[in-house]
Amino acid sequence: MEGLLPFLIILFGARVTFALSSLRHWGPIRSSSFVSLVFVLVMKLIPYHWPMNSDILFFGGSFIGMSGVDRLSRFFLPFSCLLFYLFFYNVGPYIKGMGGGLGLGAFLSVGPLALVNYLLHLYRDRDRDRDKRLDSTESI
Amino acid sequence: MKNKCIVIIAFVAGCMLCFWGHEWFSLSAVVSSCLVGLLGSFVTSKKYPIVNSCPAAIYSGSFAGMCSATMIKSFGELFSVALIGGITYISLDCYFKGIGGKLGTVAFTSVAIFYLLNKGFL
Repeated sequence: MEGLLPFLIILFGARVTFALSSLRHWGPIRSSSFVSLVFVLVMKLIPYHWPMNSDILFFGGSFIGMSGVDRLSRFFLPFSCLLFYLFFYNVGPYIKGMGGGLGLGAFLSVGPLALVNYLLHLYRDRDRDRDKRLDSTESI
Repeated sequence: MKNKCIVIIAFVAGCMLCFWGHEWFSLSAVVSSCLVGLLGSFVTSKKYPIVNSCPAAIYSGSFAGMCSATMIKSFGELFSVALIGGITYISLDCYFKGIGGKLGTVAFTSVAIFYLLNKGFL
């Protein structure tokens, strides 16, 4: 594990991409590639002791941010980023040099939380339906 | 069938451009993939709706093209990875919509299948 900064970089990548992809004429692909390019440029311009593989971490974070709003609530983003962080430092070394490894990490981090998001929505909808039914019986 | 071929071609193009970007022009794999993805995101058409699914295929292909040269050693191998990826992409196109990392997972699957075939596991 490398500390807090790598996690913050992942989170930043995810949040910026998530916010930008909801804008008109943007979309997940353009926003992910654009923000990652800008981040790489910022890394080159600002002489700071960036953590190792910062650009890769940010790029991976931007994949998480490519999730649809209906699939992943923005409150779940940090948890997803945490899962990605764990994946990157624990599984990443085993799939080094294989294209798509970052995407796999993002998918495995978003998937469980998308499922939780779906179940929560299902639970809320069921509660709402029950309340409606109770209201209608009371009015009768 | 024609529509699927266009998507496969887009995937192959994304894969090759990204791979050549980081192997020939010495760009980092991230920058190469981002450039291909950003340029690919402008491949849209109002007249031909199928073209609008090309940006995702190009971006997914660019992830497959992020493989290191130790894994892909020749043009034939690169083309094989891209072709497997294109077929995987059209097979999984309608599943997991809106889940981040899907495109990368498709790319990883294609690379993994190629790797296993190459090593004689499949």
